[in-house]
Amino acid sequence: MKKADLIKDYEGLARAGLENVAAAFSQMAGEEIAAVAPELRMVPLAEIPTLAGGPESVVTAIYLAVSGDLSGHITLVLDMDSAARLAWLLLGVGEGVTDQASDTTVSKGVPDMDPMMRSALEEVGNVVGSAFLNTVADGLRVSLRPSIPYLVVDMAGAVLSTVVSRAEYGSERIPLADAAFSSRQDSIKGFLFILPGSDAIRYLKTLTPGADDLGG
Amino acid sequence: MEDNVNLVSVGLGEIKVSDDPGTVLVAYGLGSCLGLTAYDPVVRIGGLAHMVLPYPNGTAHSSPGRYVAEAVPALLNAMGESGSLGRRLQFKVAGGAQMFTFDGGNESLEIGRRNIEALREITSDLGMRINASDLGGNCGRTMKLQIATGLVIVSTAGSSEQSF
Amino acid sequence: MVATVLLVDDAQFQRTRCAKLLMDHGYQVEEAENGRVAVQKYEEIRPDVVLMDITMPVLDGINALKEIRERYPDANVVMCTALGQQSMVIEAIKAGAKDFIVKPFEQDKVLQAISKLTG
Repeated sequence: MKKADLIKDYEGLARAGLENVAAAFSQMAGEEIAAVAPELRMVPLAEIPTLAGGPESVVTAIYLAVSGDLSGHITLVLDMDSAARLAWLLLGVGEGVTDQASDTTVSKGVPDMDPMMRSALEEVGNVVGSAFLNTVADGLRVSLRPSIPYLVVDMAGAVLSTVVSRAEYGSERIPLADAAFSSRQDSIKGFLFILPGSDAIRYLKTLTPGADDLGG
Repeated sequence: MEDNVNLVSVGLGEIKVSDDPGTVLVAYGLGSCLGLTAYDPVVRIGGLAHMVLPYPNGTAHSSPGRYVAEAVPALLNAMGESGSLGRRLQFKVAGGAQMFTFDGGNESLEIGRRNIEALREITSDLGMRINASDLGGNCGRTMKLQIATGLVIVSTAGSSEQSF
Repeated sequence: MVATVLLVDDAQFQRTRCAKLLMDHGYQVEEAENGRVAVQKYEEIRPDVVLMDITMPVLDGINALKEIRERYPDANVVMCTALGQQSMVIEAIKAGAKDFIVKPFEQDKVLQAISKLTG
């Protein structure tokens, strides 16, 4: 982690974190998954629910609440086909799982997802979210702990707006670190969104020169 | 029906009012957020507020619709300024879901529930009556207000849409 | 004598996968889905090695490690977690963990860590 020792600004850490996410993701899936356009940028809150393929698109999302020295919110979003294929790779079973997953429906908010598939995807969320946190925590020399993962199958907009709500931001724009993730041939595609808590944003302002507009 | 429709999205913290019969105001993906519509059936003017949190926390912000406590009066003002009459207004609300079930957590802390409570308090203070609602549960909702008719359509990912 | 490993992880997926790996290599496996169950099962079965996740509901792995080590100072607990931060590694080692494996891991790492402790 020598690179993280030297990087004192969050942008560098966030990028390194997202690259480590890609590595962890790849190792779990057993095939190469690359981070596409990993970046840190100021985003208006109202835009966030639109960022994962349209607010009405039904997705599988795994959410981790971050606590410890700083708070935050991590959300992994996968379209339904990608979730199915990823679960298939992890569980090492045949097409049956894929069919089952494609049939996953949301009825009254209770997804019919197979419990083992659900567990496998929650674990992916846990591992990739932790990979990001480990990079940032070691870089800032703090302790950042994820909650257990929470999986939902619902509209992307509903998931992301709820995550934004949980952060209870006071300002209009916040520093969002995110990346799209994609395997070769795009068979597995997803997004990872990192929203720092207001306390974290205040702390990051002290680290980053000229960052008075970091919101929070 | 959908061909000549002008879908106008009302994002997080926004309030929009329209008198165009071809317009449908839509709040996509209401999770814990609340969508509140106001409609004057005589002049056919409608408004939608996409509310995120119950009460302001003191920091400077500019979204008029973000906090339930501020959004409701702001929506009423906006409707009044567009030419509608307060006593004719029909109010409908959707959202306030609990998307993540935190086992062992305190349900009353959940934002969806807090938003619903705040709305109850504000509307009670203002003497407003909510005509129809679809609140709570665990599902995300999309809420549409047809300006031509005042009809509200709420849809979720899993089940077919309902209108009221 | 067949060595017994207690697998502690809230993810059923992870427990099943690890259990298969260990049983294929001749170990007897018991499972626990959180730290509280882990402490109870440790008392019941006294496994040779515990493979302990950290992020779990009810009681997390660090606290379960501490409870087990308090009652059984020679307990062999190997942390197996995605939470591989410096601060976490230090806390675990200080609390008596014998090894620390970061997920995602190569299967050999787990087997080596366990065989080192079971001799």
